Amino acid sequence: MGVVSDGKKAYRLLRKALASRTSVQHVRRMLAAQGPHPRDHYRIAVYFADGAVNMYQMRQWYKPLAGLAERWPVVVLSRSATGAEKLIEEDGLPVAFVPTVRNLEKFLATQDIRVVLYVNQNTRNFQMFRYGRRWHVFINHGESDKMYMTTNQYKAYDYAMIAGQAARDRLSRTLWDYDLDRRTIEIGRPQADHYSGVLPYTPDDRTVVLYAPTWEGDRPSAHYGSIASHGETLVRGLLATGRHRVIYRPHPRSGVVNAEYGAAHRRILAAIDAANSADAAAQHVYDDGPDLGWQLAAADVAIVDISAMVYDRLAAGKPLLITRPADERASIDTKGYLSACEWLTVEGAADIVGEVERVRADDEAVDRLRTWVQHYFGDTAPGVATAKFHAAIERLMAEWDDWHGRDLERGVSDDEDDDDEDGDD
Amino acid sequence: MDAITDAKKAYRLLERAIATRSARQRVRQTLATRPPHPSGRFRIAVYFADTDVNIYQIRQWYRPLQAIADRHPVVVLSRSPRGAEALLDDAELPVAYVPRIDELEAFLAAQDIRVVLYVNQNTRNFQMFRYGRRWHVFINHGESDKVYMASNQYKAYDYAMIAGDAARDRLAEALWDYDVDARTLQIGRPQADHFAGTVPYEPDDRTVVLYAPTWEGDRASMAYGSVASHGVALVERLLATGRHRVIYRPHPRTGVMEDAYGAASRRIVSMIEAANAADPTAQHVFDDGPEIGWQLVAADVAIMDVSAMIYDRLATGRPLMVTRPASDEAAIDRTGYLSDCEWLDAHTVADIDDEIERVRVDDGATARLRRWSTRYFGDTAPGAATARFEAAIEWLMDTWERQRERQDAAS
Repeated sequence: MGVVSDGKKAYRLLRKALASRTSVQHVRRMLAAQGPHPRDHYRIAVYFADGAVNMYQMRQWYKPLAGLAERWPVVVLSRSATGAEKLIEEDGLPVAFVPTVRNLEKFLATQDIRVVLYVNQNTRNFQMFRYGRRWHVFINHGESDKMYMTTNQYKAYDYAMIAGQAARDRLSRTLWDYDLDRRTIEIGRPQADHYSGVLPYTPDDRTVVLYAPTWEGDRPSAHYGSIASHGETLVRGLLATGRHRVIYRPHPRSGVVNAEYGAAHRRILAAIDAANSADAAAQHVYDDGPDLGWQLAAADVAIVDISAMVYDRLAAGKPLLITRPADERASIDTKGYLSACEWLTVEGAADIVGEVERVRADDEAVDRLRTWVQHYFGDTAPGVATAKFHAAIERLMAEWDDWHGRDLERGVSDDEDDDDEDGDD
Repeated sequence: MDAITDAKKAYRLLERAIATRSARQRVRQTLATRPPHPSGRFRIAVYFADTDVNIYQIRQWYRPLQAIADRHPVVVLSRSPRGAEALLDDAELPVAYVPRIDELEAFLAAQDIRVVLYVNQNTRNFQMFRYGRRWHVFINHGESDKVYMASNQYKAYDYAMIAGDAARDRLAEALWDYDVDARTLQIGRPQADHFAGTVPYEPDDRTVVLYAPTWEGDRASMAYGSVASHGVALVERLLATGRHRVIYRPHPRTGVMEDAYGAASRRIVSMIEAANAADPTAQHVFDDGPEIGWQLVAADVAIMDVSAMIYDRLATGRPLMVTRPASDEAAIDRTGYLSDCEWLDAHTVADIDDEIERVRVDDGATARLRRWSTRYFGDTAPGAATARFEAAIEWLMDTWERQRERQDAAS
């Protein structure tokens, strides 16, 4: 038994080593074909130590960073081969593949990187913190009320860019001895200014309803998925009016754990097909594309499950309904937006047309939405978050100039680093 | 060629994986025979994610930590099987083996850890930073003028305990926007208050000289080793006086790169043996023991190469000389103590007994030593650093209480 599992482990290790070697070579070939990075060109680096699996964390920043790069050239420092492969393939930003500390230092020595941005809390971020005389700034990959949003790791960065007042309150409740006013910069959600993708229909008088449910979840506390409980009823209700257009965007994992959930999803697809065949002008959409953005901006009303999608929609500043989980064991945050959102219950799904009208027209609902949007994201008028993001970077660059000037006056120069490698197992 | 490197690499990976796996099993077996840690017992954790290779970094803290453990129980959080194995072998502090995050979290949930101490900058320290409502404090594993001593990673901790003004100025110069006064606590070197080991001779009138050279190095810029250039002649001279006792403590890597260097060291060892055979009361010592401490404190004068050892000696506030590397290529820091230390040149070794007298009694030399040792370590009187370390821990515990009260009042 010991021998067998050793053999298996050995095989797995070998396979992993070979796969990673193949990706490394592939990445190096792709980058070689692009030619070397111009020396002393970049001013901002985005440090990304994750693999391809978490690329969504990076992807949502491509457009805001590409906009920024016109003024301050931006490069992604990628530490993992599968991550680098994906980054190069997606071609959102220039990529430096620096898997070892030596590679990283060599690259840093040829560039004048003044601000390093981090989109997640990867353990290896700590390796990058060695390099001072530049700002390390956490920009995260979304706003929500999850625990991740208040990790004590915030304190390890020079600055954190946060969405708004809700994030401030959350951090001030949680972190000890953290000077929020000095160390956080509010920027809203600049991603929301860059909605990616093109509308797959011609706009007309129909009220556009985005229904974006999550999957069924693998434990009771995560039973947020509404496809079986709400989805069929509400989609059928909307398809029947002739005054609505449905954009149906289910989570890609829908049905993986629960066959009945998958079946309900397929019945919704069939209903959409049938409605489009009956009236081609209806232009209902089944959306399984990679782009996320146009749906959030285009929909007059969104119906979403408890998930990051809630906050992405909130950032658009437009009406939304949250499905109330049918399973009472599903855990629901009681402090943030979910404590006062517009719930769509299972019974409410039967009167979906009335509910959609209510959140659009009811003064109280509209007011409440405005208050919460303001609380999480500040001013959501188009372009405002982008302007705040750019202003934040300008401020960091100005502070960089200040501190660099002080170094020059004192005659301080950069030291060579000595080799203190970790003894990780 | 590629296939061979691959096979070699794979073999090495495998070998490492198997060694780690068997260490893991041994650690789990050892711990299985012991009662679990009582819950709610510990207040201070030392986070150690390194392997046995860097165990010296935590070993030097055992005694200072044992001294505070009565008041604030201390546990080591070990993340690596080979590190845990070495810690369990040492059996100096309680060890919690928590390689996985869920184990770490379960342990933290069962304990009331208010201060987490870090002795190095292991990448995985970052995983521990997740847990707030406690202080994360860097205590390092020695003082020197290396770049490591001013890593920008200092900023990631709530506080750092540092040796003295030299460290303070170094950090102030290197780190941007770091409030050194608010975030550092000067404690000197409490390790120096705890003698490790026992003196292996009967003290008498002889002047005790510790000669602790480093190895030959593997690059020209690291050629600090003095065994061949200074060592043979200086030991020969000291053995001949009848008024000195030599403690010879060469670096364990001595001779690995260069045969002649190893041969010089062997010559020194045999000269010592011959001297002891001729006069057993001389009691010269060839010291290759695991413990470092008694030598630094017991020697009247120390002769050392450019290395971390210099700062360990400086922490005792007692006289030392630094051998000037024979090679011009050896890199020497020009800002700190080395810019103003007592150099021992190879050509002055013939006058070693005069040199020793000079650094012991010359007013200029003793004043210089006092100035530098105060600059690096503050008050080096026995017990002073320990008192400051303990006061720093008390201060952290007090601020912990105050933060806790503030938080309770807010919620």
